[in-house]
Amino acid sequence: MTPKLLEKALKAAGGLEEFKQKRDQFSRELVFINENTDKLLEDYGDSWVAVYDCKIVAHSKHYNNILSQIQKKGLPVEQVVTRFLSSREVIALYSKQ
Amino acid sequence: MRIIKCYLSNFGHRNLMPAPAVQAYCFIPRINLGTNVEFMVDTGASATCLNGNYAFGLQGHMRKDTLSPSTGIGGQCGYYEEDAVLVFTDTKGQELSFPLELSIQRIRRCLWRQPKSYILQTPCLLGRDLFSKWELRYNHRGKNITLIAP
Repeated sequence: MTPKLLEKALKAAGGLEEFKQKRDQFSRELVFINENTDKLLEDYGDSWVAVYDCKIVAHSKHYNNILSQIQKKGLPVEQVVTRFLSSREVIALYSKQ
Repeated sequence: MRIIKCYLSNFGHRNLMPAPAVQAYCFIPRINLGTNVEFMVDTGASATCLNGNYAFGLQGHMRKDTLSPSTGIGGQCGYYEEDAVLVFTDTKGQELSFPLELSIQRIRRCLWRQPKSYILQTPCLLGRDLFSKWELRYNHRGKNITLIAP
């Protein structure tokens, strides 16, 4: 069952090569955000940012605005990494039970 | 034995103690949708779930009859259930799949009001449904965090 599901998942991603390309791009965007959090917070503090090709392509206080900006620019929504940048002191406790 | 490398992420919070994280491609066959997700590795979560903005984008595809309540530290929330598969990449660059029943946070959609930002910021969690079958090694100080699949 698992190899079939894997095959289906890779097909949905556009095939193995496309899958790898999207995965690597996603990794790069995450590294970009993680390594530049302080700088990004100075420029876009307490806002949503959208990152594509290691560049900020949209930012807004509201998530829906980010989505419309991405769509207006004709970027592939599923490949644009969106993240809220928070400068607040937080203790995060998450659990699903 | 296959090894998947995890890392520490601040999930966009400057002042958050970095948390273990891993990247996976999450695919839901029923709706033929998949996307790359950064999961927080969370031994406190009994199940793997999509939360926040990832869940928000899926609300229109969810089925009410799969909805059930879930209790966490922040209170109670509804979660939809979907058969899904997570695709990881091991240290040799090979794909590795993990089928699971994925929980998807219910986020009420409202035409005249957006969901609160803190709801959309909730990270996706990789939970004990996976750790009960795979091994998790966690060395925060040494920044060495790995998932080991049998």
